[in-house]
This record gives sequence, C-alpha cells and structure tokens, in this order.
Amino acid sequence: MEPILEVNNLKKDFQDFSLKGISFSLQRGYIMGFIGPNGAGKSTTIKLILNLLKRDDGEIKVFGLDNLQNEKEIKNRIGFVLSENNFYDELTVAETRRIIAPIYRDWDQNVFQQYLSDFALPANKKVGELSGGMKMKLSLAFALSHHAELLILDEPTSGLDPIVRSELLEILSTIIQDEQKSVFFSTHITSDLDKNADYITFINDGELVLSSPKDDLIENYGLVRGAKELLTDEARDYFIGVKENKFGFEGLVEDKHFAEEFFDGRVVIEKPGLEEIMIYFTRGNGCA
Amino acid sequence: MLNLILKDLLLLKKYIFFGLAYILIMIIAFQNLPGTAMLSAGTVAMTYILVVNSCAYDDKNKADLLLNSLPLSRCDVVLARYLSVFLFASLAIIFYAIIAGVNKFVGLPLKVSPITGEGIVGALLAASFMHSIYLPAYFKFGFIKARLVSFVLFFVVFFEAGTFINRINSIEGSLQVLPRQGNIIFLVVAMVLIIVSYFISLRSYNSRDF
Repeated sequence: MEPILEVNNLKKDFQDFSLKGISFSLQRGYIMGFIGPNGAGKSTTIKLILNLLKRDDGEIKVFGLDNLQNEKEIKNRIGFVLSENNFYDELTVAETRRIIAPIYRDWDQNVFQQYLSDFALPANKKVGELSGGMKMKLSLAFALSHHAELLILDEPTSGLDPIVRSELLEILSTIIQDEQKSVFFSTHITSDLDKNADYITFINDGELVLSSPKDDLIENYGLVRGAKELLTDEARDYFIGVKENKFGFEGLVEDKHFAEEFFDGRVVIEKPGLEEIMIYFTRGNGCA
Repeated sequence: MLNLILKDLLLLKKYIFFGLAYILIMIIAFQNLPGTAMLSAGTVAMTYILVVNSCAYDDKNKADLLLNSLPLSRCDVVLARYLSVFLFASLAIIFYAIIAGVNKFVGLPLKVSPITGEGIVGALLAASFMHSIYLPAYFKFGFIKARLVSFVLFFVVFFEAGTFINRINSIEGSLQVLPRQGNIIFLVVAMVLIIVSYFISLRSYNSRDF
C-alpha cells in the first residue's frame, strides 16, 4: 500500500541550520510522532511538507502526489494545526469560517458545527479573545471539518494544560479508527506520544536519528543501570548515551538482549521511555 | 480568492465606515484645489489607508502561514491584494459621489467638484502608480521593511495627486488627443503599471519562505 506521506532525502539550508537529507514514510491508519529537541528541524520539515518553505533538494509525496505539483489537491485533503494561532485575532469564529470554509472543496458545515458545540467554542467571539486551549481547539475544528485524510500538527500541545492535551490526544486516537486517516504529530513533549503514537520519527540537529514503530523501540532498546566498574571502554562503545555518577552509571543501548548477554546479569535493564531515548540520543556519550 | 477580499472587508469594516469621513475631510481640506483634483487626493488617501491597514493585519497575525497552508495558490494571495486596491479605490469614488450628492441636495457651503471621466482616471492612475510600487516591496520584503517605501510614496503621490488632473490635461494637449481618448490612454497606462507590478510581486512571493 502506498504511504500517505513519504519524505525522501529532504534538504533545506539556512544560514545557521540545515536539514540534512531526512527520509521517512507514514502509512494510512497510523499516528506518527515526530520528535526532537527544540531547533531539531521539526517545524522546518512540516513547513516544507506544506510548501511554506522551498526545499533545496529531495522529494515529498503526499497521497502519492508530489507536494509542489499537486499543492491544491493535497491541501484540500490535509488538515493542519500550526504551532501558534494563525487566525485573525480581530475576526470572530463565524467570520473566520466564512473566509476559510469556501476555500475547501469538501467543507462539511455540519461537522464544523458539531465540533464548535463539542469544544464549546462561541461562534460570535473574536479569535483574539479565546484562550490558548480554545484557539488550538478552533484550529482542530477547522482541520477536521473538510474530511481530511492526513492531519499534520506542529507542536499542538505546547502551552496547553494537561486536560486539554488529554482531550486532544483522545480526538487523534478517534480520528484514525477508520484506518484510512493518519496523523503526523510533532512534539518535544514525548509523554504525549507514549499512549497514542504507532511510529516515532526522531530528528536531531537536522538529521534523522531513527524512524521506527514505537513498540519496536520500547521492546528493543534498553535502559541499563549498573556499577561504575562495569563501564569499561569496550562496554561504553555499545551505549548510545551514558550518564555517570560516583556510584554507577545509566545508559541507553539499542539492543537490550545483547546487553543482557554482555553484562551477564550484573546490570538492571528496563524498558526506556521515549523521553529517555530522546535524551540519550541527543546527549550522546558525553557524561553528565 | 474572493474570500481573501471578503477577509479584507471584514477586517477593515471600521476603517471603511470612517472612509466616508476621510473623503469629507479631504474635500474640506482641498477646497482650493483646481478641478477634480480633490477626488484624486481623496481616493489615493483612502485606498492607501485601507491597503496598508490590511497588510498590517496580515503581518500582525502572520497570515502568510495560514493562507499558504490552505488550498490556495500564492497567485491567489497576490491577485486578491491587487484587486482589493481597485475595490477600495471604487469605494472611495462612491463615497465621494455620495458626499457630492448630499452636498448638492442639502445645499452645504462646500465646493465639491463634480465627478468627471478625468477625475476618475486621475484617481485610478494615482492609486495604481502608488500601489504598483508599494505592493512589490511588500511582497518581497514584508510589511515592516516595506513601511519606508509606503511612507515615502504616500507623501509623494498624495501631495502630487492634486496636480495629476492638470498634468493629464497638459499631456492630452501635447498629444493632441480628445479628453475621452486621453482618459482611455491613461487608463491603459494604469492597467499596464498594475499588471507589470503584479508579475513582479508574484515572482517575489513565489520564492519566499514563511
């Protein structure tokens, strides 16, 4: 089956930052968490997918179509939530709908009305008077009211309280239940993805670190804790990242079964969280 | 694309309402201007205020991110901005006509020149000239950097707008054409200016990163 989103060797150069040929793909019916520290290139990648930035090299296919040659067709089938509110603060929710709704080929007013009601969004209130959480819900209502097949969300949970975040994550899980829609969701709050994501794509400093099913990561990677004398030079080479103190060490390995054999039961090995994976990949072997 | 013009009208509804007052102030301020120059001056002033405020709202709300994420082409975004110039200029001329009508009906002690073909051509030419320079700067550099261009242009065009009619008349005289033919020639000049400007703006906007 053709991926709903396919990024190949994507490059973009800025004066002080480069996206260095990243590649990944997302199948229909799944949520992909796009993670990385601040400044890793997550928003740059999303802007390149939406053609807000011009790519220097590489290829982006959405629904099997080139994102530049079929821009309008693709954008009719995409729902997006950008990291900050980009609606006009001075217009009411209803006025904003009057402008945006006719632009979409498959706008569904009943669905939009339902979301306004579910999210308790007042149609006659100006966007600028809504809270951060309400603005995000408004973005989501627009993103979901034209039968979008792919949702692209850029840091939608940053700045939201835990209740609104939880509501958003529940909505995302509901959306993909028909197995035809997908969600591409960038965040640096990895706990948002612990329950919901099927795939994780991790970039750091403009480079792809990994793109893999989340369960594979959790099952294969290991968080190893042990006494300091076990951390020989040979052992150190097997770690993605290590943190040491005067009593012992903690580090991330890519293959926990190998680590079990290597240390022969003298260490404690646990499943890592996404946050630990991100931290150790970002930190590398520099010791704390 | 019409939705983008509707967006400008919704954002600027207060300014448009006060547009009637701007035109009245222009008429009062330019009582001594010859012929229909007060129409040109009023049209240029009101169109400028509306276009610049519309650009300011887009800049404040980072609208380029929203608009270019929607299923719109960049061509739609640029074309809507140019069409709104003519919409605002037309509104200014309609407001002028309303004030001229009320003045005549009520008998106010105001000298309001009647709307003529030369007046409308002068107004459209002045507004076209100003925005054919401002909009490429806006689409290339964004609102903040283009402010200097708009500031300089406003003073040059606004204070020169009053003499546009006289210049049009003298050029018509030197070309030895009838006023009606002259109006058509100047309308064509205005259209050419705007079309060339549109393509320059589109080229800049197409290559911009947001």
